Amino acid sequence: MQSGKRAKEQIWYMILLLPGFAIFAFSVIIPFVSGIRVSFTNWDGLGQTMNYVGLKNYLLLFRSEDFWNATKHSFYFAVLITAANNILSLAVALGLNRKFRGRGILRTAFFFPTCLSTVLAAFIWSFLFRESLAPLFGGISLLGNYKTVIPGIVIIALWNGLGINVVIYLAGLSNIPKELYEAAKVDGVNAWQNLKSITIPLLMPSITVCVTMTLIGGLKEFATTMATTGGGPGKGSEMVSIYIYKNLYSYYQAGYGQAVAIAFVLILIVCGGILSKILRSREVEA
Amino acid sequence: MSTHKNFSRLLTAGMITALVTAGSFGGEVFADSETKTIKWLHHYGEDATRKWIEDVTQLYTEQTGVQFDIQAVSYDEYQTLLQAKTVSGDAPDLFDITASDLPHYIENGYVEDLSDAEFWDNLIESAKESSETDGKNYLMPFESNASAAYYNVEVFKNAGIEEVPQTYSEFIEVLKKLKDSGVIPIALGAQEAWTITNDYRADMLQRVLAANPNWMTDLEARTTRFAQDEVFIETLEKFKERHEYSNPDPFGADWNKATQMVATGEAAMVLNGSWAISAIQEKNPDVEIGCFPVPATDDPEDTKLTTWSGDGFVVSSSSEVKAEVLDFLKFMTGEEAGSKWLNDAKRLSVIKGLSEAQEPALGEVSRYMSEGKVFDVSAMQNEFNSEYSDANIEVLTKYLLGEIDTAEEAAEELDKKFDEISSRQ
Repeated sequence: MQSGKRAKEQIWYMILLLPGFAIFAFSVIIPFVSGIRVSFTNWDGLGQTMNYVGLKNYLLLFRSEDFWNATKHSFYFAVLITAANNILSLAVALGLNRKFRGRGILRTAFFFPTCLSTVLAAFIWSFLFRESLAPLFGGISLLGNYKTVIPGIVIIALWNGLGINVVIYLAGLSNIPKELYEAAKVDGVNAWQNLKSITIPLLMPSITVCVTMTLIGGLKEFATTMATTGGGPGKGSEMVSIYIYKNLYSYYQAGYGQAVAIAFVLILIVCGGILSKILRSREVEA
Repeated sequence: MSTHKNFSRLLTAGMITALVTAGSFGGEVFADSETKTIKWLHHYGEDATRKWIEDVTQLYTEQTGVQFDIQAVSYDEYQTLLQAKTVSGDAPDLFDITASDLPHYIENGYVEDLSDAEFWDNLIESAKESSETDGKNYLMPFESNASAAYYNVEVFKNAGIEEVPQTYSEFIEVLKKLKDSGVIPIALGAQEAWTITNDYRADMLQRVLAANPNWMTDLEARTTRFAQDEVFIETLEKFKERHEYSNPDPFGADWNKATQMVATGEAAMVLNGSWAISAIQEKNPDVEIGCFPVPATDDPEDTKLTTWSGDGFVVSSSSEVKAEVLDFLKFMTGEEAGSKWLNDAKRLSVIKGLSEAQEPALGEVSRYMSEGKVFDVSAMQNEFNSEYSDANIEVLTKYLLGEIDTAEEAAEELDKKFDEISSRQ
C-alpha cells in the first residue's frame, strides 16, 4: 500500500517538473549542445552553411592575445566585485540585524538600487562619474582610462547588486541561535571574537552561496560593461563575454566566438567547483 | 478525497505549462491581404532624422497606400538584431548596412541586385560606380558626408579668430588662440569609439589614400605595413598633437557630451561628419555653426574636405514587396524627400539637382564641393573591417592616453595586431 502511494506521488512530482524541465532543455541544453557543434566550424554567424574545421578555433584562442587579455579583465573584475560585495553586504546585514528606528526604511534603501535595470544604473553612473564625481578623482571620469575603468565598473555593479547578498546574509543571520551569543557574553567575549567564532562559522552556508554566486556572476559580466564603456577605452575593460559577443556579431567569426564561449564555460566550471569545495569544507552545523 | 487531490495536481501542472508557454506566442497580426507593408529597420537616433523618416513614409503612404512597419533601435542593437533576423529568415524588407558588412550579405545571397533600378537616375553620376561590387550594384548609397571641423562661430569670434586656417601651422595657431581665450578647442567624445575614427578621417584619410588608394585593402591583406609608412606616421603624430588641445578626459565623454560642449560654447569645435551639425543644434537651436576642412599639411593646396558616401540601403532578397521598396527608394531620392533630408534632417545626400541648403554650414560644405576642394573617398575602401577597425581604435586609444609613446611604436603595434587577425581569417 505504502509503496504504491509513494510511486504515485513520484509520478506527480515528475508531471509538475515537466514544464520547467522542458523550458530548461529548450533554452539551455539544446543551444549548448548545438553551440559545441558550431565551435568546431568556421560559421560566420550570418550564412546558412558552416564548414567543419576541427580544433582550429580552440588552438587559435589559446594563441590569441585578446582572449587572454579579456580573461584577465574578467578575473580582475570578478575578484574585486566578490571581495567588495561580500564584505560590504555582510557589514550592512550585520548592521541591519538589530532592531532600531528606521530599520525598515534603511533596508528598503539598500535594496532599492538592485531593482533598477543594469542599463539604467550604467547610464546614471556614467553621468555621475563624468559630471559630479570627476572633481574627486582629479577632474577625470573613472571610466576614461585604463587603470581605473574596471574598478569604476565594479562600483556600478556593486551599487546595483548589493541588495541581493544583504537579503541572503540577513536570512542566514536570523538562523543563528541567540543562545550562543548569550552564552558567549557570559564568557566575556568581545564583538570581534563573536564574529570570528560564532557568526562566520554558522553563516558559512550563506557565505558559500553568496561568494560562489558573486564570483561566477562576476566572471560572466557583460551588461554593465557593455552599457558603460562597450569594452573600452581601447579594449581596456573588454570582458570575455564582450569578446565573445564581438566575434559573434561584429567580426563574423561565430564559430571562433563559440569556441571561446565553450572554453570559458570549462574555466567557470573548474573555478566554481574548487570554490565550492573550499567553502563547503568550512561549513559548521549549529 | 484523492480525486480532488489528483484534480488539483493536474490543474497545477496545466497552469504551470500554460504560464510558461504563454510568452512564446507572438502577436499575430492579421493583415489585410490587399495592403502591402514595407518592414524597415533602422538605427537613426537624431530627432530631426527620425522626423524625416516619419514625414517621408507618411507622404508615400498617402500617395500609394503602401504601409510601413518601422523599427528603430540603437546602433549596437541594430547589428545583432539584423544578423539574428537575417539568419532566421525574418529579414526586414529595407535596411541599411555599411560597406564593410555588405560583402557578407552578398556572399550569402541575402540582398537583391539593384543594378537596373530606376532610382539611379535621381543620384549623382559617380554614385552607381563608386558603390558597385564586381560590376553589380547591391547597395544604394544615400547619405553623403563631409569630414571637417564643425565649429561654434561665436566662440571663434570671441577668441579673435578672423579667418579659418588654411595650413596645418595656422590650424595649431587657431587651437592655441582658442585655448588662451578660455575654451576647450576640440571636443572629443571618445567614450564612443566611432568618434575617434571619424575624427582622424578629417585629414589622415586623404593623405594615406592619396598616396595609395588601396591603402586599407593592402594593410588588411598584409601586403603593406604601417611601420616605415612615413605618410601615415606623420598623420598619426599630427593626430596626437591636435588632441593636446581637446577636452582633458576624452574617454570619459560621449558624443552627446561633446556636441553639447560645442552647443553651449564650452568647446569650440568637433571634428566629425556632417551629421554633427544637427547633433549640435539639437542641444541649442540658436547656435551658429561654421565648417572648414582640417588642413593636412602646410601646403594650402592640400587642404580639402574629405567626402564620402559609403553606407547605404539594401533590399532583402527574400522580401515579398520588392517592387514597392524599389518604388519607395525612388521616391526617397526624389526632389521632395531629398530636400527634406537636406533642410529638415540637415544632412547631405548623393541626390542630384537639389537647391541650395538652407542651413549655412551645409551651404559652406556644398560650396567646397562645387569648388572642387574635396577629396572623395567613396570608391576606395575607407574604413577598416570590424576586427581590424577595433584593433586600430585600440592602438589609437593607447597612443592618445600615453600607453604607447611614439607614433613609430604605435605603427609597430598596429602591424602586430593586424598580423594576428589576418592569420585567423
